[in-house]
Amino acid sequence: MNDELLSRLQTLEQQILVLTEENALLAERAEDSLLLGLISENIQNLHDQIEIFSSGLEQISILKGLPFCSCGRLIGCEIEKIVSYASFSDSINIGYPIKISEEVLTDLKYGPILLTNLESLCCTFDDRDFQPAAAVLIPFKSQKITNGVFLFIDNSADNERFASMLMLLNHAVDMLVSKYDNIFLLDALQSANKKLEQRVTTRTVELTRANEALQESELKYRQLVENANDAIFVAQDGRLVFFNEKTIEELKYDKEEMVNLPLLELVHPEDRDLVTEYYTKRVNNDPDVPATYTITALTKNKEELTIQISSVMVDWKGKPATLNFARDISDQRRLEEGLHQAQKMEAVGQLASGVAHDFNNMLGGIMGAAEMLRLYLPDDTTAKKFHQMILEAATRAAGLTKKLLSFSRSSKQVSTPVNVHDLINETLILLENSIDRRIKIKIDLKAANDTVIGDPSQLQNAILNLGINGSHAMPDGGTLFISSDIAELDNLYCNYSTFRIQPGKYLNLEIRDTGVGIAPEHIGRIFEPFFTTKERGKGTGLGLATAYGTVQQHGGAITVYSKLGAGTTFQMLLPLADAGAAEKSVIQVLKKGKGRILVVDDEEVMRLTAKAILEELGYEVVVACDGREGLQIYLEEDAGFDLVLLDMVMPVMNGRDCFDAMRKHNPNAQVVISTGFSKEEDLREMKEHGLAGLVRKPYLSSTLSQTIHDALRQGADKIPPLSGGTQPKVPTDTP
Amino acid sequence: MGSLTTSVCKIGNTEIAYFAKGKGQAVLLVHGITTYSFIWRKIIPHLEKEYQVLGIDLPGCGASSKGIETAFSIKNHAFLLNDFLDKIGIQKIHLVGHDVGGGIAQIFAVRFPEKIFSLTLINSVAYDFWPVQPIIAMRTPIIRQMAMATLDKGALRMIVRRGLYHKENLTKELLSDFWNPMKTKEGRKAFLHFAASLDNNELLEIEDKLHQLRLPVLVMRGDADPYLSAAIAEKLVKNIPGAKLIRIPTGGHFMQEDEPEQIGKELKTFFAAQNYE
Repeated sequence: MNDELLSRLQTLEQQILVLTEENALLAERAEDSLLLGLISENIQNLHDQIEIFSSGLEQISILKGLPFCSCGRLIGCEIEKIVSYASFSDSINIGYPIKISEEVLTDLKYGPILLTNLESLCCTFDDRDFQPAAAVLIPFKSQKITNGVFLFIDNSADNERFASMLMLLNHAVDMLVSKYDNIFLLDALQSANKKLEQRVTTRTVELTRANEALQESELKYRQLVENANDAIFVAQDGRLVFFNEKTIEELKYDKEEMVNLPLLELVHPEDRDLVTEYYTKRVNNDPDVPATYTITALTKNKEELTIQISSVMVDWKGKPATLNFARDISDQRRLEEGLHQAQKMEAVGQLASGVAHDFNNMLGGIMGAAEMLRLYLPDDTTAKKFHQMILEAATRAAGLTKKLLSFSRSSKQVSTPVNVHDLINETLILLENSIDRRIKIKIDLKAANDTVIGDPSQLQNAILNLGINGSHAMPDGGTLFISSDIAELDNLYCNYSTFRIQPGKYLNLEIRDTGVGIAPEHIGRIFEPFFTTKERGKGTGLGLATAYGTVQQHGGAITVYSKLGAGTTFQMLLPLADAGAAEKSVIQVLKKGKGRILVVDDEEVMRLTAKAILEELGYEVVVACDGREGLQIYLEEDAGFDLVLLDMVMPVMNGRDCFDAMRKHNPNAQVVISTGFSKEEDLREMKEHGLAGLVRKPYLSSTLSQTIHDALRQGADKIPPLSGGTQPKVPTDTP
Repeated sequence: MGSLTTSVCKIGNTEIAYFAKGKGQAVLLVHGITTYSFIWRKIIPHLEKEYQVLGIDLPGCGASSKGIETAFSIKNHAFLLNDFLDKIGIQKIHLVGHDVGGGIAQIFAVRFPEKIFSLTLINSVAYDFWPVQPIIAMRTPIIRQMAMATLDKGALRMIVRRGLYHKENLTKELLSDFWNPMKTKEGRKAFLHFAASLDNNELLEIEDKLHQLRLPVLVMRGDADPYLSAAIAEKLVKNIPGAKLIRIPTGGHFMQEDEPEQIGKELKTFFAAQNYE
């Protein structure tokens, strides 16, 4: 019984021993798991690389009871400490320097080593603290450490314990190194991210700045383009792909309609071939294409615009296109046309004055001869009647010549203050009696000041002509408006005008009809002499030309506005007179007289007529056929004449030169100029040099007599008698 | 709560953190391993009205120095206690030691009996009945558990829980008090150094002198202490003349947590009895 009990007790003790051993093994396994779990858990929250190693080594040391745990870099055979944990010391460099033998170094290339003989490991511990007995070395490589080693040293010589721990230690080292690498990579990644962020920030700032600069620049260019006074547009594949505000404004399209509008739709049909040709040539780099050319463009309402286009090839969104600057030069064209017209009118005027000169001379002959003829005509009624017809016809012809001369600014013009409103009212009476009764005349004279300096008859004639012209435009009746007000013209207007007008206050007269209007192709020609749209015989074509000449001579301007079917407006601008302009009137009186007169005229008929009239009036007459002969006679006779009647325009030595020569010989020479037209400047200068008088051709005997009489009397008042010459015979006033 | 200490006394390079409460005869409370001065917090209120209650954090524990350059042996600690008392001017004490603190108290009492009114050993180590051997210290189960406990709060909790009779007393706060020193590397290393420095031989050396002590000795035993054998208490009481044994059935190893009022009351009675005599 006791033996049995003892045996059972022994068996139980045996079993307990086995269980205790198993328990110890299990506890160790649990510790190992705990160690790895702790390392894993702990390093999760660590971000410092050294801290990871330090923490791991402490945990290994504590849980596995290893007094010394360290890791370092292998520099040859020496271990350079990274971090250590010694359970027996606070000294951070405890045990170091540590060296290994060459053999161990070589073996480490193949993996962990367990050293039970520490001869190949040289370390420096104080024996009182720690006596190394065995060591484990585990090599490792990481991102930053290429030649690393973990070193665990035990003070127990229990090799089996260390050997069984090797796998665990290797595991723990792997975990630590992996985490170490992770941190390194994470740091590198974060640093890279940070750099990237910085670069992105910097770049964003740069881009923002660049973008702002670009926007500013874009705004500047857009303002340039949008505020340009030229239409700027880009055409590509025959269509508008870009255009500025001015383009829209000029062509009167809506913006939406303009986009991709075929370019040729904007071009007058007549110019489409030209535009196409230039475009094709430009695209093909043909040098034979002008950079600038002029075409007629069409607005949306089919209005025509004269456009000057400058084109260059550009790249637009990767494709060739033309960049075009277009300028509406319609106004400029109209101005040019106006100037051209003015020049033409000037030429016509010169032509007309030339004709009028010859014609005047002939009329002078006719009238003079006819007057002389009267003296010889019997009191035969029939003869007198025909004689009268000749005189009247010649007078009418002289009137016509006068109009021509007036147009050409060469006729004599009276200069006197004229109340234009009065003149209009007088003219109204004439108009009302001569125009269709179905035409109403409305007067609206608003101008506070209506006084201009000029020739009342010419002005009246001009107003009358414009009125008649207006009435002719209203064959079926209508209204003729005549209005006035004050216009103040500035420099701009005056420069713009084709007339030579000065800034200042003007009387603005408007004569407007509600008639058929003037066709655009005619409007540029209406002021030309002899231009008429009326049937042959119904108009002379001089009415408007005369009005033009009159206005021009009065320092004013005349313009016309017309619309077919709506009517025409003529605007006359006449410079207003200064207040208190002196009134001047000339009264012509027929006078007989005595004295010796030299008549110089290249026209035989004029020469003979003048001789006849003057002799008839009581004067002694010598004639010369041109200036040179006249001067010769004058010199030969040593200025033995009371007066010289001198023609102005002569083929051999003209009146001016002759006058000068005579005055040179005799400063007191009394000279009267007879002329159909002359430049006012010439006459003014001659007056300044002592010209005694002027008689306009064709002249009537009464006019001539008065002029000669006045000149002789003036000369007698002022000039002492010439020595060595015939004493001037002072004419006596005889009515 | 942590350490109760409010003052520091420097001895050599070692700073000893301590507290002093109340007035009267000095009572010095010495903690054991895994604890520090906080373990007395529930005892103090019972004593401070009549005694000057002093408590220290042993080197490597609580708020005292963590340097491990010197060995934390119980003998060294006993001499340090003497230096400490000299430094703060205390001549005589009622000495109370718990666990390893009891071992220190035994050495102090043997070496400086004239400085002691009375000696109280609560769940104290003594002789070689405790599972600590030099060199292989870390290989013994309790020390391995302690090592684990420095790194793993769960392991520490297990140790503390096992040392309590009233398991429900293990609150978060209490565990936190135990855990505090383990939070730093220095704390962990000092704690383990303390454990590694323990040597049974130091107590075996004084066995004879201990049995010759002529001092009032009280041995308190928590019957539910799983770490230390009842034989220790029994042998102490049997061999120390006049030693009194008080057994507390509902006391675990950390019985200051289990039955503070009873302990406080017994201490007061015991101290008073000495004065009365």
